[in-house]
Amino acid sequence: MKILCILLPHFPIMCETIRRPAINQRPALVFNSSTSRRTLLDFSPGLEGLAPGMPLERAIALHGNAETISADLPHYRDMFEQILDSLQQVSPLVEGGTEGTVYMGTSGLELLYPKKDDLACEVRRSIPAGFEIKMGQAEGKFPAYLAATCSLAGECTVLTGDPGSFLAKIPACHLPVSAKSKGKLASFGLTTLGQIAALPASAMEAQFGPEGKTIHRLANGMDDSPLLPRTPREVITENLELESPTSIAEILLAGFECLLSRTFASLLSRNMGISRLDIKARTVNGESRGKSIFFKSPAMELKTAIKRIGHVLENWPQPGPVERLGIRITGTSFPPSRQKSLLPEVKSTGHLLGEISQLELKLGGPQLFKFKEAEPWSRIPERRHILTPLNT
Amino acid sequence: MVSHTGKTPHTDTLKYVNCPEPIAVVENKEGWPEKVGREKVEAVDDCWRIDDEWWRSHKISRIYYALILASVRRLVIYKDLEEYCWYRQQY
Repeated sequence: MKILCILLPHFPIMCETIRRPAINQRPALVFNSSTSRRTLLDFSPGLEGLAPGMPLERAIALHGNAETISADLPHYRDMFEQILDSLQQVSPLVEGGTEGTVYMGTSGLELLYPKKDDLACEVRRSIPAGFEIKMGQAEGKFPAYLAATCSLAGECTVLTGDPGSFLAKIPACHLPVSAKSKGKLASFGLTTLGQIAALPASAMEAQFGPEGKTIHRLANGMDDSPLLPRTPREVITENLELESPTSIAEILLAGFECLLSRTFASLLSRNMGISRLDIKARTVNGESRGKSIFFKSPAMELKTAIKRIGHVLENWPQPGPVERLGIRITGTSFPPSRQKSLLPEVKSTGHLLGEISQLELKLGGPQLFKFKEAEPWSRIPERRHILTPLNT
Repeated sequence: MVSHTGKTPHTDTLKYVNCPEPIAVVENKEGWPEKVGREKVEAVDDCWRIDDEWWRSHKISRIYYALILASVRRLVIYKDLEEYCWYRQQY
């Protein structure tokens, strides 16, 4: 299957730049503070010596003049979902990997986009201005990803035929394998995919086990991992700016109630409920926190959803006064249907027995009996049949 | 082994069907039924005796009579030979 890989490098920093164009003027570091440690999530292109996941302090030590920005993960996810929605207008088969990496199934699209660059142009049109785009097309996700990695900004590299010569010089660090395997490859002096591809598969398997076979296949440009297209979904987003920032849970809950009441009106008219709800809160410091709430059976009433949010807020302390609230309904579904009994008699018997139990509790002692044969052969008439309580 | 059902067993949970009902009978000299209640016995259609459970303390010894009454009604009664009481019972 033909796969088009679309890379949006430095996705978090690009999202911040689109939101606040002033950031573009100077280098910036986006850090994640969801854990006790502040780690680097992304950085402005061109900054040397940085890598995602490194401690923020170390990054500041290297680039002291860079502006630090707290990561707004819900916002990045929103942006990414919007991009995926747009790309789904180009091809129905769109898989969103990590934020900034998209795989698109393109088999058959040549009928819609006959010219060589038509598809790439359409993809570029679907992605908001401000993002750098790199594209690569190949048979399989991994070769397409490598082709996109090697593309220039805005360009699309298409791999046709045997990708061996293209892959030969690509560093082995691009392989989607464990860090341990990458270290082992380096210790064997296998630094490029070409070197790995030149080895027999059995040798790789002998050294790396089952992962060795995968490494060898990927190095030869063979990736049969399936494309997992996302299902189109209805997304409802509502936001609310609070008049005065607050961290009082009751006020936040009232805000969420206000947002939900708007959406419930439209959902209930279609007899639908909420099965997944993302709530987010943004503080005056610019820090955003999000939480996903899943409903086992869709919430068909505002009261149900609010009760659940109330529970979430109890264990969801905010880092400061909240100035903006948002909800994002990403899962809507119909109320659960009830399976009609295939054996209605069995059910009705059950109901009847329940009623009899109630009656016996009221009147005391067994009231209804079953007629049973006891000793039908007996010469003594009263021994032949007995009555047993119905509810035993 | 059968697990305990958690229910308290009661003697009244089982009821016998067709239990004998005491009845007033006037006997003749031979000990045969002559009147049942106020109704005269027209004929004795059948007669048989049951002796059972003789190994128990309360043994069963009955003599049954299938009667045709003056109203042409058929009735089965028996005499308990242990208690010397009369009972009616469907047979």
